[in-house]
Amino acid sequence: MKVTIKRWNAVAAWRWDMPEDDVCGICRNPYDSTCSKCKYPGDQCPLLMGDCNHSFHMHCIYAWVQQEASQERCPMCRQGM
Amino acid sequence: MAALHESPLSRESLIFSSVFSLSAATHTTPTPLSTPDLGSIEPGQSFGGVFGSNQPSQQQSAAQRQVRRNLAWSSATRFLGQFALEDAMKGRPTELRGMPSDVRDAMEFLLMGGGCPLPESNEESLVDWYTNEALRRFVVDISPELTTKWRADFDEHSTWHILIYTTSKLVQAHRHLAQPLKDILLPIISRPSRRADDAIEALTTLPIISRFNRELRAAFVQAVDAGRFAEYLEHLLVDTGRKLFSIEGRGNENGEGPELSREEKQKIRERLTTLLRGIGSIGLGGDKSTWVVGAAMAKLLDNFVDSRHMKVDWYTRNSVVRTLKHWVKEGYMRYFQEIMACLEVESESGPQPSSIPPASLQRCQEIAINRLGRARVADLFDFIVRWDGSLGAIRDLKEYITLPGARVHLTHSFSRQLSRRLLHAGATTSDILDVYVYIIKAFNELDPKGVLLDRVARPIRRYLKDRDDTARIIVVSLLKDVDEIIADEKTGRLDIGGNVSKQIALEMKYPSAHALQEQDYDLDWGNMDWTPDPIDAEPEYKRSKSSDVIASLLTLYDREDFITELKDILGEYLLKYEDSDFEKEQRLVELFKVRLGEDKMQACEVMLHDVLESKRINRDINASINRENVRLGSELNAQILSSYFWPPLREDAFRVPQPVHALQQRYAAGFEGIKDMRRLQWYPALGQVEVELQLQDREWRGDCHPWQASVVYAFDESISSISGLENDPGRSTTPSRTVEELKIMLQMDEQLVCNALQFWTAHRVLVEVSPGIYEVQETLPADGGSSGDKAGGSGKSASRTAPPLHTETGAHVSAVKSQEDRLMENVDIYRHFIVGMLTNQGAMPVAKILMMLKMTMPGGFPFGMEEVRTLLGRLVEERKVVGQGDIYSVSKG
Ligand SMILES: [Zn+2]
Ligand SMILES: [Zn+2]
Ligand SMILES: [Zn+2]
Repeated sequence: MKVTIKRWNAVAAWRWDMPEDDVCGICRNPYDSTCSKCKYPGDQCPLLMGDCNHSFHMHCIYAWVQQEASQERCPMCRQGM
Repeated sequence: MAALHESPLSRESLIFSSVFSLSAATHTTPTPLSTPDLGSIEPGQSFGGVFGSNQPSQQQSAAQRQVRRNLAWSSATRFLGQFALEDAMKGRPTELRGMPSDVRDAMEFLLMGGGCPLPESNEESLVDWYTNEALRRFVVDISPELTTKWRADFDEHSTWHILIYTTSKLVQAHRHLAQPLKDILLPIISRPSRRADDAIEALTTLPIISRFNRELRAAFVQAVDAGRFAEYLEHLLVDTGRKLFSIEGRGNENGEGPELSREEKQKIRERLTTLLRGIGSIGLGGDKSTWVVGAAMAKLLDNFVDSRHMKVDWYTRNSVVRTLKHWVKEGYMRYFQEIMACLEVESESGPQPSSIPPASLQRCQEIAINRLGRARVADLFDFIVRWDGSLGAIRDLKEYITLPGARVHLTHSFSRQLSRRLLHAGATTSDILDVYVYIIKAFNELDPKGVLLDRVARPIRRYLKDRDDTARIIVVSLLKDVDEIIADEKTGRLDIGGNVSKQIALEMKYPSAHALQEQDYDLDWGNMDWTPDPIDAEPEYKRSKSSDVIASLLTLYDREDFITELKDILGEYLLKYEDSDFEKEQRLVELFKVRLGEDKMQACEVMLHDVLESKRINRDINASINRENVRLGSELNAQILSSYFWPPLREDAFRVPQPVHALQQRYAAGFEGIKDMRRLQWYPALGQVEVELQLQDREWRGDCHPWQASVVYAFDESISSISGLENDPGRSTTPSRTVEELKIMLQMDEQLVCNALQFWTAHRVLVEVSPGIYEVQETLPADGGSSGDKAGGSGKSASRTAPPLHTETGAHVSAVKSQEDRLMENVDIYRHFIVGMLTNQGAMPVAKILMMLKMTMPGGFPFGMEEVRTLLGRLVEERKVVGQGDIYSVSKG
């Protein structure tokens, strides 16, 4: 018998390449979720990693940085972004 | 004369007094001529001289008056007594005329002169004497015959006869007995020239007549058995009414002929009015008959409401209330009036007014509407489940529910019907949901304010909440295409219908019009249908909540519970029907967003977004893969899920065929190239595979689960060397594999391996050569092979239709494991039920057993024929049940 696979419809899940169960330090949502303003994760709500290797939802860190009190520092380690 | 004197008086008196209380203390028979104390006056001498000219002095008084009185008494009673009733009844002329003047004088003396009974004496008045004499005559001459007649048994059909006979007898008796009173005595009493006018005459004579009539009536009633007389009269009134109004017989249709002609009706009507006038004239039309008429009219109304005239209008679906009101006004009330007019002849107050007071007409119509309403309420459940053909029946109730007490009666009665007929273990959840949708729609028509719906829906909602599968069925039904359900019904695939509410699916596709006009209904000043809130509306009552079908269903649970359920089912759908454009699913998500709040629907929106986005990603990645390697015969598509938002999925892992594995790696690399910082994780058991198998004598092409594809691929001719497993060199093109080998080779759970082996065996691709050992069936045996598979297996089946049921027999594995687990969880209950049923009801085919399980199991029986066969198979093995063909019964051994 010769078996030919004509079409294979598979299912896969994507994850951010981050330690599992880790959350955004600002909104406390998992990285695989969205920031509090977005509807769709992934392309529309990407992550951003600072020089200090701390990661956040891009929208979260932008909002943070725009606050004067933040002094454009990482909210986790206080290093400059 | 002679005959009269021969009457055995003592016996007559005995009968007489045993039946009546006499109006006078004593009653004497007409005094015979030979009465000794006649005094000095010779028989035949006129009293005129004595009475008319010289008034007796006080001294003469007592003794002389007594003599005269005795004499006059004898003369008067003798004359009155000669009136022979019996002869009169037989039509012989009576000899009332030619009354001798001495008799007249004697009567005047006794009635108007000194012969009147003295105050405080025991003397009898002549009128009293005659009254008693008339009674005696009636009892002696008429009563025995009537009594005999009434003692006899007779059936309904002789009702007319006995009533007419009795009435005419009594009318005749009354006329003859009253005649001497009216013709002889009363003229004397009222004759004196001092009478000023008729009115005074009436004043003196009327009390005498009515007292006489009263006495006689008492005797009549006694003679005819008043109870039965009333009973027959009532029957007659009802029966005549039924004929006049063409109300067909209930229960004895063959007993009643076709509708009567106008002439026949007129005849019956005349017969009735004649009879009733007779009854009225003899004084039997008094209080008692009013009561009888009342009872008859009530029955007639019942009969009419139950008749074909008041049948539910299933065709034009209009209310019959208008007809009912018209009938009450123009038929019923007129009939009633006519009856009363006939019976009240005695009052002689002239013709009755022909118009009915509006108040009593309205009252009567209300009674009729109430009666009709109660009849409809009694069957309300049946009308609800036949919505909307039963619209007419619901409309019949609209006026009823404006009557006092009606709304409470309706809700109580309907709630009882619901708990008896719907809210029990035998009804499937989808049945209950279907009925609930009907209830919402029907009650919206009945009571647009929704108060009644709110009441009757409460127990259903409570019950639905307690069922595990409610939320699931609601969501599935909302997603299911109603056309598909209808198609399933036609092809008899009841298994699917059992888990889907067709009415919900219909509502999703064709939303009820009113749901759209719902907002601010009460505030719409231009709305001509506006009515005030019903009095039984509770203060916090909000109509819009319960009248909208979808809203009613979605408010059954907490929003969170519903959304969890929705997520699970939507996830399943999106993965199952991957070729779809998910239009319906998108519509549903939009609907839920409006109903449940947008913020709660993020997961569902992400899921939908994922599957739509995956199509684009597949295109992009496959384009680049194909550019570098075109010779791959297969195509890999992937659904890329944002796992955080999806419900937990099957994570069974196994080795997919090497080429697929290679494709997956390439695909992942492609993905990670486009999507920075992201990794892909595969779910091998999910998805769908299209395979093509080339066998020596045939080709098989079709869809299967990934594990089934992996297992069949392990039998590919190129694999035997790669696998490194030893095979019989002589059979190198048809490797044989055991379950154990496959488990190791594919790193697959035994359950999935077995499922795949059964799948391929069913499709006759593999064959179990000896227990646990499988080989490829390269050529189909010539004998008895089913030709169906030769044509190429299941072929290219449409992705939305499941493969035929039998191909996955006995080893049904879905993306959700819980189905099979549930069968096993409840296996003891099912087995117990089946054995009990077969013991009690005898042998049954599998289909019937399935139906009974579906009807009876709490929470339904979400399985099909195959599962039942599996259960039965085990019972057969245990020798509890025996099977013959498709029919099973309890093992007698
Ligand atoms: Zn964040
Ligand atoms: Zn965002
Ligand atoms: Zn930092």
